[in-house]
Amino acid sequence: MVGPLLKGLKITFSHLFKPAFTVKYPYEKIEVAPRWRGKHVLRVDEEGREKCCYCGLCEAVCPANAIRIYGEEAPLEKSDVGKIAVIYEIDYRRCIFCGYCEEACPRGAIELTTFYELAEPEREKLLQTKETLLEKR
Amino acid sequence: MVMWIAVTVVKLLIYFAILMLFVAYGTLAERKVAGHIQDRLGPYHCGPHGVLQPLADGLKLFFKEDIVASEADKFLYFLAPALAVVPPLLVLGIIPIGESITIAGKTIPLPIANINVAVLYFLGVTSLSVYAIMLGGWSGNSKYPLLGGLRSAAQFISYELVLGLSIIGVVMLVGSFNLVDIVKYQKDMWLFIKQPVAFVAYMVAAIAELNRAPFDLPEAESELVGGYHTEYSSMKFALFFLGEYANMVVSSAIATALFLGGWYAPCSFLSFIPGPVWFLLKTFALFFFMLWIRWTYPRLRYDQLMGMCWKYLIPITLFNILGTGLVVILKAGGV
Amino acid sequence: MAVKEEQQFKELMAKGTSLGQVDEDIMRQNIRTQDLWVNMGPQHPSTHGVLRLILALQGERIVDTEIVIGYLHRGTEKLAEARTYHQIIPLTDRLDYLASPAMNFGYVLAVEKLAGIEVPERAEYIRVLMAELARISSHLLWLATHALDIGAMTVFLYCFREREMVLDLFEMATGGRLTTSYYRIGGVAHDLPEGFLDKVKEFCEIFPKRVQDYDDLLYSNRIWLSRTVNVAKISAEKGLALGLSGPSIRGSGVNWDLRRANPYSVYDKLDFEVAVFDGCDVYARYLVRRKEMLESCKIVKQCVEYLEKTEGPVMAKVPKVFKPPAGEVYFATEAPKGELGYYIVSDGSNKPYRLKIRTPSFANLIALPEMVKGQMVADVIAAIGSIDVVLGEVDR
Repeated sequence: MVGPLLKGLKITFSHLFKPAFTVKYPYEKIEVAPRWRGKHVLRVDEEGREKCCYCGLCEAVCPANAIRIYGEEAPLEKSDVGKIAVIYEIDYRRCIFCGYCEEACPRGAIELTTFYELAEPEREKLLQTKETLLEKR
Repeated sequence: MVMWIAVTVVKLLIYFAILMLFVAYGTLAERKVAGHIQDRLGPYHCGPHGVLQPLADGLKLFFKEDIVASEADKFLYFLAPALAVVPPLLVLGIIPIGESITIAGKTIPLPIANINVAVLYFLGVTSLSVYAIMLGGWSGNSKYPLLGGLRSAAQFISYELVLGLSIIGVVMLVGSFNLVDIVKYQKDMWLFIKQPVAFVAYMVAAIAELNRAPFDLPEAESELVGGYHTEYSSMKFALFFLGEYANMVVSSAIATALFLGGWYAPCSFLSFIPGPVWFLLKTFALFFFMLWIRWTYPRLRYDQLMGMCWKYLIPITLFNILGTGLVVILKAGGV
Repeated sequence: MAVKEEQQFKELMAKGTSLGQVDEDIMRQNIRTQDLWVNMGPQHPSTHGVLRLILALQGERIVDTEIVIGYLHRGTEKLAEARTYHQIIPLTDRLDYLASPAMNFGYVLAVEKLAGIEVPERAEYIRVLMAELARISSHLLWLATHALDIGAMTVFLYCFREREMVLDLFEMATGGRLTTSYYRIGGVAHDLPEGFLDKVKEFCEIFPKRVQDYDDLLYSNRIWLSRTVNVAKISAEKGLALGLSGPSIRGSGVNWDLRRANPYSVYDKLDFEVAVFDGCDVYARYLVRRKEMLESCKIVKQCVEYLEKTEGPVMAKVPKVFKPPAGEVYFATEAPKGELGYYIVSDGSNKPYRLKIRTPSFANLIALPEMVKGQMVADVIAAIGSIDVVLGEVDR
């Protein structure tokens, strides 16, 4: 009867001197896997043109209806196919980070990055627009 | 006379400061021990390795909104947290932290009150702490605290008995209720070697009296949310906490005096370290033991706890008394 | 009451009884005991989310229990009617959010059966691998919270430590830790990343040793035994009648595991034992899940062995705009909590006409009042833990 009780004490005592398993988060950042589905980014090609050609597939495939997209004709120096998304909004109040937009995109224009600190103090700031999404070169 | 009063007041202040420091850092120790046992770090943010955490906690609790349950019995509701702190502070007076010290040619006895019935006083005063929990459970006019209060009433009455019976063995051997006499008796051999059963029974009963896991049924946060202190917030809640930790410290200190040889060093070559240091070290060891137990075992059920008390602990302590009595009589020359 | 008492008083006085006797008689007739009604949840530390129980107590004994659910209702079934078949997969993640691959698994298998899609074998093995890892992670979280409820707080963090390793594996393969959305109709989203299988093997090495840690703290611990043995018993007959499934019924000695009873995917090619214990109590359910974790570990090892040797596609040819033929299908899988069934009615369009989900927790929860009748308040907590409810799944 007492044996198992003592064994329990032994286990907990031995852990007292083992290194901690936790990460001191705000001081240390966690490395996430490359496939991590974090903040979105709108890619640009080598010449600095937006890859997105306003096909609307991401908007259609989004299970949470988080994406709003509106496009117009554009000159070739802005887009290689002559179409560009003027409005590209992802509402992070709705987004579930399933990664379907990335999978649906035929040109690899939208991707999910490994950036994970997405909390904002105000709800309005969670609406991601083209300015916050577009890749900076 | 004036001198005596001045010395006693100074002693009181020092003892109180030591107790409060012990309590404050007891909470930190609890969280640190829990953290390291569970492969994490515990408080880390306030000060290096969280050493300022008790201050932060105190400040936070002080500035928190004080919510009074609207249907509460106001008088008892305010009385209960105050009652929780009083008993351990009362016991503080009899703790024999050392024998005496000599300052400027004057010998000053270290215990605040060296009374002849210290053990009885301890038992009497600690049994008051049940009122805090019972009244706290009752006065909130809420169901979970009521259940917690009911549990604590039954638990305290049962374990008070075990506590008393386990000390009787010691008292029989020493032949005195005076804690200083009891410690002096242990100069050569600690009493827990002569009275191992009583020591174990005392520790179990003490943990049960303190509502510590695995006997923390009156609060049992996974069953009764918070038990008796569910309806309390801010400093009232803090007082309950303070009372619990102060009680732990005081119980450990009394156990040190009763079983672990008080201020005496474990072996003679270590006796260059002053007695009070030994006393505090031993107290902390028992305190740590209580933390260690808490983070190891699951919680017993209410009926099982009562069963353990009445079916096992009380008969065992009674047999212990019988055995001790026989030994005492035989040594004294027999019948 | 007062009028009645007065009348009784007069009657008794007329009979010539003494005054003291009269008082006592009236007291005996008028003082009654009453059940104490306690509302447990939806905000309660041990109701695993938002379960609400209304308990009628006599002292600490349970007289009656009423279950109130619906606090986490998100209308998954209705939402599914407005989503394409692919878009439903993230919804299924959020049923039992502690084992999302297992939730995906049942759904994609049901759709594949409806549309008659052949899935590449490699994809099947990956799916089984993920589903079994999910079972381990789900059972680990169960053991953690169950031990926490009973008061063993340290086991909680030890289990979380290992669960973290599984979640890291999920993160590596799928990009998500909790809501993985990894399975696709006809296969899985991507092939496994490089180095993944080594990590899985590493985990399989460590894990049984860690189970030993939990055993040292619980398995033969006197206090754990007294809190679980002969607590919240339910007989096999009663359990079957109430529709219990999964570990909850296997703890009552019924050998019913859909992976064996009705093998789907590649389970018929894998070697594992079905954990069955016949204690009918909380401890037996603990033993079942404990053994299942170790068996799942074995299955994972076999999957790794296969996946290391073979290469190949992980997706079947499925048209982008997926329209299954009209018809209906029911497919049940063994999720960590029990039988998970998807019933799909298709009208031939790209959205299901109706999706009904038979979730194990919902069915298992109904056995709770039966289990806790006559037990103590503390046993309710143990019982809730032992049937392992996830409210996301109960309320849907």
